[in-house]
Amino acid sequence: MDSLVVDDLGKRYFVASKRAAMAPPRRTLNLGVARLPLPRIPMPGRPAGGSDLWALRHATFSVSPGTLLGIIGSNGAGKSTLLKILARVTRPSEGRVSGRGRVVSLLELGAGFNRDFSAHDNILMNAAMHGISKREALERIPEILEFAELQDFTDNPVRQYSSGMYLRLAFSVAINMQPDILLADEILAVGDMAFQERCMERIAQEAERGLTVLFVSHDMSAVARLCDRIIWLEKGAIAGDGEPETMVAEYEETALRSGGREAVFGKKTGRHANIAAEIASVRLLNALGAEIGAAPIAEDVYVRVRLKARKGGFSIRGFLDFYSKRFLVFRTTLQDEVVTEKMGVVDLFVKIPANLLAETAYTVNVTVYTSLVKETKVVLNNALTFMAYGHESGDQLRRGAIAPQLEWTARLHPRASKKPKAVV
Amino acid sequence: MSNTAAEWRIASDAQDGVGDRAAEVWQYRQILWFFSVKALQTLYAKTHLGVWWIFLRTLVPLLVASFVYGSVMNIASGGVPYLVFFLAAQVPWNCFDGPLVRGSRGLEVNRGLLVKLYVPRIILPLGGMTPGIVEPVIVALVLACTLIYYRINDGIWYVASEPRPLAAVAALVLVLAFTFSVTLFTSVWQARARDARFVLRYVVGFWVFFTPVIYPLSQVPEDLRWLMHLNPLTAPVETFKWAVLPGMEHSWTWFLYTVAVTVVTFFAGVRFFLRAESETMDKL
Repeated sequence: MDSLVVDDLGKRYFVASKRAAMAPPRRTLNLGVARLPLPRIPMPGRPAGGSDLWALRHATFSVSPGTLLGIIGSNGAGKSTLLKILARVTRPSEGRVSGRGRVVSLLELGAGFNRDFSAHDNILMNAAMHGISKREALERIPEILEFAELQDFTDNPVRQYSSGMYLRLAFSVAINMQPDILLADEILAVGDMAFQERCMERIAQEAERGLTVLFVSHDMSAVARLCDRIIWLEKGAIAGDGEPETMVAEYEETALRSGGREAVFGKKTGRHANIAAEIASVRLLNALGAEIGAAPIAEDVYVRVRLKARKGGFSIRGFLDFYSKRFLVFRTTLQDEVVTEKMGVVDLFVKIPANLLAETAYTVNVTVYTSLVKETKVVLNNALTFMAYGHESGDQLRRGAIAPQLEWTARLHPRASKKPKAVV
Repeated sequence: MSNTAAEWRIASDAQDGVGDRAAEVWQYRQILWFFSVKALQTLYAKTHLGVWWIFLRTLVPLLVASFVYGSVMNIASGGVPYLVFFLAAQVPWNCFDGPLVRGSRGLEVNRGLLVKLYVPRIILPLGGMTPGIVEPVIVALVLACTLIYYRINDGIWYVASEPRPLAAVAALVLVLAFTFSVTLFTSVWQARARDARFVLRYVVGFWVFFTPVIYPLSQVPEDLRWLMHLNPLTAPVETFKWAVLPGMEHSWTWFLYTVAVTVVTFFAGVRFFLRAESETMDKL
């Protein structure tokens, strides 16, 4: 008996055309002193100047109990839409889903938490929001707090929690509600390593007892490691369904290559070692220091360049080049020379601030100069490739090679038209 | 895993019966409390006076209005001091005014949650309404204090010779039920277009003048009273005053009319809400 059967599922959104969206909002009434917008008279039927967009269409699959199912695909492929339908947050435009048992959704860690409530009250509230009785929730509270390691902070309002504590609580609540189906959107990249490990262990345990998990993630390495099966969505349709390794390989080949003819996942090339040092690894980390495979745009992430110093007492300079679709997007350079004192490991961290990257794939080339006797460089091209992803899918905010959040200000000049025109 | 692994279905064409929906609301009933607390919290969060704002905001306008209408304009008050009359009418009126405006915001203010987590949305206007119930309670307390004041000063209890607490409570409950029925429409409108907020403010602002809150119904020419009574709030306000104050009149017939209007509005509202729900959610 399958725990989830999805049959010809589809979701249609109405998208206003670019012209309709960009046009001046509406007719205005000019009163001489002010312009008043005239009301738009709503006409029955479809608003003009737009089209239908199928965020998901003809999705048919079934999942047997105990499966850890990964859902991958590029931005806007319909992954989150699928999860939202299963979580009943949005209603499908066509098709059916039938399932068995309790569904707990983690579309966002901590959705439905009240920051002014204590952990205790938040647990009760979250249980209530999943339709779970107070009696059952009260029984679970000790386990939840124990798993989240928050026994000593039960009565503090969660606004005083660190982000790690907050995430631990949110995950612990979800997994301890004894779901039969857990829907998780992009939660693999959170928390510190140790907690991630415990989460996965716990999920695996529950899976043996029949828990079905649907993960949506951009983090290919994590998905390949954790899941038993992967569904690959592309443009709202199922593009592949099968073994994790095969699916991830296919996805990376097709989806990430489409941007440029040259493979984005190029071979690591370059002379990556010299007499003084060697580039040992280049990794993407989250703020808590855990390795991640994809960068959430709304959070700070770090690129860690790990060097093995073969000698002591030389200085290091260097830069990272970020490529997207074969174009150099930006170069970031180490400002001050770093002097190594002994041989050993040197980690260089480059912080990529939140709200800088666009929803696309990046490749990083690393160049490090070492000056021992004379300055020589070590280079590792294609050292790191990762996707950046946003949480609000379907918007137009994250386009381009980068999408920095810049400061906007508006200055109004009343009656400017009456004065002689200023030279701009 | 659990033995009670109930089967469920999601379908594009599913129209759940009202019974299923009611059962679901019952299952999720506890969130009503959390939403109410949250709505109350956010109302006066980060203010210095905190909860005292509830008193200030409720009382100051009432006392000013009472002074203007009663002492300056000398509006008749059916044999009791104007302040007593006015406060007594304000108790049921406040069961409509505040809860309507707050309840209408229910969907809009919880947008962030609604796009991430499923809860029966019909609970949200109700959860938004509940902090509005604080105000009529305060007005009622002040009314009690005023009555005691007049008892001490004038030596007269301005209370109905045989008070009818059941009728008074029934009148308030009826007003609240009517208000909730209306928010089923207004909360959806407000989630779709902010215009609804302004419209609502105006409508409520005018509505008070067509309800015997400021003046007694007896001031209205007799041949026009039926028109006043078409306003479904007139009857419960009159009933409340009749139940509490001396020398008042009311009509159970019109009270039943309001009950009927409420029942019709409620079922129409539920139907409207459930039909508009999913489309509205996509536009939130």
